[in-house]
Amino acid sequence: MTDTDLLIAGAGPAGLAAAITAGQLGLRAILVDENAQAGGQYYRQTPLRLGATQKPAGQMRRGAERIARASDVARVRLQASVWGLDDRKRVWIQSAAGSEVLNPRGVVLATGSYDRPIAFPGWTLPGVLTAGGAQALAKGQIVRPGTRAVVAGTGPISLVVAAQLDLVGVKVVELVEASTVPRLALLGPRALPYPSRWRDLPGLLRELARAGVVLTFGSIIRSAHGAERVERACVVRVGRDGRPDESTARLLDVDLVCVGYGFVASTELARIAGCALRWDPGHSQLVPRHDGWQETSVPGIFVAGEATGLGGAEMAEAQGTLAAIGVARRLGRLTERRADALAQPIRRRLRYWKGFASLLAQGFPIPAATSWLVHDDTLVCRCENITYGQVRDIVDAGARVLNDLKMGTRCGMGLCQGRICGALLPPLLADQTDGRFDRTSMFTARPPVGPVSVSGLAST
Amino acid sequence: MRPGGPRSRRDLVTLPTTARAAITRADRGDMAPGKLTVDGQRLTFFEGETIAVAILAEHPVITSKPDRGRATYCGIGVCMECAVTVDGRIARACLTPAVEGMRIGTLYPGRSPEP
Repeated sequence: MTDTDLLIAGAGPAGLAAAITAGQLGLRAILVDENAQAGGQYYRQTPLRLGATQKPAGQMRRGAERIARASDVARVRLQASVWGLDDRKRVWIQSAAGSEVLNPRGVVLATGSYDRPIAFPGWTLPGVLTAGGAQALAKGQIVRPGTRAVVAGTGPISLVVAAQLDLVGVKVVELVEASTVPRLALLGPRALPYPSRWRDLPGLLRELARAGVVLTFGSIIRSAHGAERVERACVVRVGRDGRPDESTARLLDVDLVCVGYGFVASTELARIAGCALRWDPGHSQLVPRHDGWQETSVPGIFVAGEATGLGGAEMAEAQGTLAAIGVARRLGRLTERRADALAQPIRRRLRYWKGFASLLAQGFPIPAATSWLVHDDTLVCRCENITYGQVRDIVDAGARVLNDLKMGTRCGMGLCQGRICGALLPPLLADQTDGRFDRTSMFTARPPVGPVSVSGLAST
Repeated sequence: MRPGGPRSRRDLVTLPTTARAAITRADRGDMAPGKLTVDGQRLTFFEGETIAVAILAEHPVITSKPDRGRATYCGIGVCMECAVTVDGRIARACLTPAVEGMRIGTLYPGRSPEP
């Protein structure tokens, strides 16, 4: 067992910031990430050889710089998964080399988030991708995941996805935004203090206009159709009652549907360690509670970035920095006064970016209309092939929380460990049952988090 | 492994192939292709590509679940739709770089994707 001050789970913006700051404060840190390259989703790096023909954009270059700085001061372990964590900060890691247990003095969970899944007829067809998946393929692997695409979702990420697809040669026929022009216009003035966030917007819109992308507001994806893969998609306007208005359904001739209705914080490790949670009303999810140093209710376990709720890369970096200062403070490597002095400007930055995050949450709320797309035969659990009808029967028989569904249906017991159905079902069932089903319920998180070989489990 | 996973070598039949691959590579310039096998069948890949890209560049699906085939959905290691075995160990095709000579198995083989 090596002597480690700080173990950081996740090498995205928050984890990289934590590692860089830990280095500056003289902490010995290990940065663990399951991807083959550090950077997370935001600073995703194209593998060197594949990217040789492309000019790295500003964001990717900034990411490369931060990865280099973090690698100078921390041990970076890639293709390694943190699959276990307990309240005594014991950390279980698996990689191709095998499984091991570390016992660092501090832990920073910077596990990020993933696209909030929504269920609609045809969403399991090949050719339906999350926004993040589309980016990973187009930007990370430089492939075309289809030939003609519709990008449906809410928030500025859709614009970025559409532009990236266009860049690799996918014809993006339409961008379907759930939010409405009046709603966004109301928030416009409040975006003025954040020029770095909208400076690129006119250019991006011009680029999409040049590419012939039609921009539609107040509409959502309704269904995907095809035999072996997507051959058509149907979009629909959201009616005055907040439900899909079937009379407005339109078919689009596409073979790729990219869907991005917000994000879900990855909180599995915090949950298995027993960290207390709080309800984040803006993003409608439970996230780890933390103090002003990013420390959770479990001493020595800190949380930073999207895993604390959603706020974007700048907020993640501020939180990662703050968490590393918090760890140094807890280990007695910083005096209280020095830690406060270091934290002060970071906390100011954090407040500034929190303001932007709440702006985005108000401008691009999760559209409740997406709760009204499923039919009885629509799959809601992709792993176990459970339909909405099967789940609805259990709910009508009295199931009120997510764990109740496991008994009757095997829902949530598949390979994804309930990360997809566990995220989409609570809002869907709560809306469909008029709140009788608990919107805040979650599957109980259990180790191992992610796939671990039996021999790996046995060896520890 | 859940029931329905590969039980024996005999179950690992070739992936269903249609005229249509799921994805298209951008120009790979003068890169030299590598070789790996999926369910015993040889596939080409380029250095830096994930297993998912190597498979989907020649096939419409990665796994063939009981209902029909599935390809990459989340693309970032969460949904497990692209779970495969690499030299017998479970791996996420979307996260795992392809390596020369890699022996990959699909998890729900033996059924062609049906409408």
